[in-house]
Amino acid sequence: MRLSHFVAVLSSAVLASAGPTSPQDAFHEVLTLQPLPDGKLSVLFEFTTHFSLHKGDGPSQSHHSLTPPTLLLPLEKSNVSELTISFTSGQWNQLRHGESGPPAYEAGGGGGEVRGWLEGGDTDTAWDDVTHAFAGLFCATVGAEHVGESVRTFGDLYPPARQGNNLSHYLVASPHLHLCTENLTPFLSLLPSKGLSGLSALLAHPGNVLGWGFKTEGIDVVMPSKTQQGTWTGWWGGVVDLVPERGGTRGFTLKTIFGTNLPRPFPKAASSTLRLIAPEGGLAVDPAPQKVNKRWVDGRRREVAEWDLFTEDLQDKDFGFWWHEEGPFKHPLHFEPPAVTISRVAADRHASDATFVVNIANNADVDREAVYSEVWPWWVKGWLSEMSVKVNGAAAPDLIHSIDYHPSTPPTPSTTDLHLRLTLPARSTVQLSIPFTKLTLKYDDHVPDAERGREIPASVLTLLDVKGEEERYADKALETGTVDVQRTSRRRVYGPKLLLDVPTPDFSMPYNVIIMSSTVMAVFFGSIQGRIIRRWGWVEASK
Amino acid sequence: MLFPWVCLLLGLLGLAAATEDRHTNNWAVLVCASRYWFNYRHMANTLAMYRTIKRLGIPDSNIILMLADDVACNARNVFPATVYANKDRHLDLYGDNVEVDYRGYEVTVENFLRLMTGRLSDNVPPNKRLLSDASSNVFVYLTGHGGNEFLKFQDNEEMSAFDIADAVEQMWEKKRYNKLLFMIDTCQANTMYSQFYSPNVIATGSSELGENSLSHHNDMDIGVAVIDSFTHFVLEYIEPLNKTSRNTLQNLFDTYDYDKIHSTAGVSSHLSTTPPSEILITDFFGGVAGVEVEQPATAPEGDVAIGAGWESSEGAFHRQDSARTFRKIATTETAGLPFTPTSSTPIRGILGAAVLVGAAALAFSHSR
Repeated sequence: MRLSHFVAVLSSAVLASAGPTSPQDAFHEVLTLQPLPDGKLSVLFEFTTHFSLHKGDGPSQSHHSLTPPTLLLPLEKSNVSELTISFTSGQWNQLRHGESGPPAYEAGGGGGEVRGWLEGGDTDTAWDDVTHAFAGLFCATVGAEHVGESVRTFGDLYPPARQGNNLSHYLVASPHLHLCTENLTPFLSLLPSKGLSGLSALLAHPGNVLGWGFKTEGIDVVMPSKTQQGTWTGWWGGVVDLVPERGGTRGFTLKTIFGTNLPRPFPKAASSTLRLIAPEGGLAVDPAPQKVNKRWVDGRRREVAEWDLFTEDLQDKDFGFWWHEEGPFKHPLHFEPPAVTISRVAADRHASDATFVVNIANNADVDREAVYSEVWPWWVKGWLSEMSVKVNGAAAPDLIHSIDYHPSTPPTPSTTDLHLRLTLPARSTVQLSIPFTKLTLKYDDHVPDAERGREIPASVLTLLDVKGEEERYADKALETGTVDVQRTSRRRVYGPKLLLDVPTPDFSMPYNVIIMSSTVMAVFFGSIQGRIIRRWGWVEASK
Repeated sequence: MLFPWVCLLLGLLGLAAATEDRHTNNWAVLVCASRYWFNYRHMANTLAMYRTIKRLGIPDSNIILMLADDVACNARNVFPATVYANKDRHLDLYGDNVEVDYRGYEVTVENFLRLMTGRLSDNVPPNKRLLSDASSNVFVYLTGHGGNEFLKFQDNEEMSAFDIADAVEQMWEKKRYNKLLFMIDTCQANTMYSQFYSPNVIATGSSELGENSLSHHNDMDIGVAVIDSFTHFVLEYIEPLNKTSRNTLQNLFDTYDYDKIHSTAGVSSHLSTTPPSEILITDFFGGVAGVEVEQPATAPEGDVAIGAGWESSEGAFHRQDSARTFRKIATTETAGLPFTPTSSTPIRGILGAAVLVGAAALAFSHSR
């Protein structure tokens, strides 16, 4: 009793010292469920904290109430203004899932990705420091091994959320990374609820959530400025198969998905919400939602049901979701494609050469303006003069308005960045073909499992004409199902990452050659030398 | 002229003896050097060791865990995000809280040797550093595929017995350990510690020259062998122990049995001034730090519950209240046992004074 009293006094003292100018920190959590047309369910946890840097009397003091210092101190020290770290594991199937990408719009392409805006001069060192610090925190090498591997040309495509002076943008993609428990543990430890209560308790079962086919985890931090609070969002998304292994209905409950009922709420949360994006045709739910709104979700007008999880009679409850009068789920033969899809393969494969064939389909009724970007490691040398552009099979070089090309400097660690500004004509597929050569890697440039091949980062299409999902007055009259591809906050659509097989020598051969020639030398050296310097003849024996 | 030298020497020797056998912190470096799914057992060996030392109190911040591959989230693992070291699959070693400090391609000979010797670049975060000091007991565990005086890392490089011996010597010179326990489970493992030449190193391995180190058993659902014999029996011995255990390393070494392990496990303790029979298992496998506690001059020794859990140690709390004189130094667990007189404070004072007197006498004789 005495202890809790003490804690109360202490926290009020902290708040008092923060002063009247800085608003209180606030933590919001949302779990969004969205059934997908192929019998799967998209799950997204979002934990958002609005925070200020509560400085005490001096610059050496800072208080952290909801956001741990392990997250903010390295960012402060390295003058980071914004930072996003994303891990993605598994494949998002654009055609079958019916969406261009996961509902976590900030999630990067396959593997790991870190990007951010840094303030001030000598940002190279600061970037190196901050990526190393987060590599330690997230148990994964998110940063670049060499300075040259950081990409600097994506600033225009990832505009800063907040204007600052002298900002520099950095991006590093590590396509070989994936997600496992050691990445989930630090993620949960950054949250104020620590995976013990609130929605994060649903996430704290690695054996469950890491068994999902597709999953993405990440943080997106915007540091506070003099006038505005900072915000950081941690997300975890995944795709769960609803159809039982031996077939059956796809109805589900929270317990079948997460293995537990709704946990007790996290008392410090300002809001805790369960959100359901209803599929076409509707979904039966129990208990009844407290709010049902029509909203723009990724370019489509949808019905969104919401539950406030602080409501008392919802606590420790299981939520049921099912399709009315649906028997065993029949897998559809045709899917309505999302607004934009990308596929990328390496065709004409040889040991040393191949061709990237990229198909970008615009399934909307309007032309789209976009930038298509590729990042290649130094050992991928593209032949841009050989690049071809086709629309529905016919050559269409005019679609490309400009090319921004930054070649690598082999064999030093560096990247080739390519940005193509192009128009995607309505209801058609643009095909880009870029031949490339794989340069020879030195013995110690190879990764330890060289024969597996090496991944190259996902390509990314940045849409320049999106207008966001905010509601406008005129939207009220629109029916659910209305499509306007520009009413989305998804600015980027990722192509798949690629595994390229690199020309790999048989590493034992040099040793064979050395051993063989040494043997030959050893065996024949004596006899040849004897032939050369000895002379056969009669020697007279001394008497 | 001889007096000041003798005095100085005696003093220094005495101080060295007085500070011996004291460690204030524990560190562990656990390395699984092999990659690929079929080497599941090496990951499981390492993680089982990780779990055990965490259970005995070494915090995650003092454990450097290196795993050359990720079997837990491998697509072939039918039990996602889990690693089991026994076919009963009773205990998930990956659990819901694991910190892998070096993983995948980062597990290289260079990184391992840099970690041991502390030669890392400035911006390497603290959880990837071995921040041990002259009063740290360091436990090094290696597993993978080895041969005569080498251990294979990943599939493309090797660390030789000379490399590790030189790294340990460098650690000693840089005062990075007080005592070091080197344990290795590979084929021909005992050759790997044959080149050590630094003080206070105790080494043990699973198999001698020309012998293979064998796996213990398979799990038919996971589809591969889940643990190696040597590690299995070491852990089996340590599993029932708790933080208050008085068992020594010698007790552990005495359980090595060819008929069970199917290879000749070896021990090398000639470099250590303290025999393994006087070193507790928890000195390396546990996070039991030395704490200075008071001892009543007349405390009866019978009322201390040694080896019992915390719940039965109330007597110890009462005893501490009864006297406030600061006389002896011991670990919390050894409270109530007879002490070696070398570690008592007055003697240290006398020895320190001897050093000062010796140095002064030397200076005096030189100045004349």
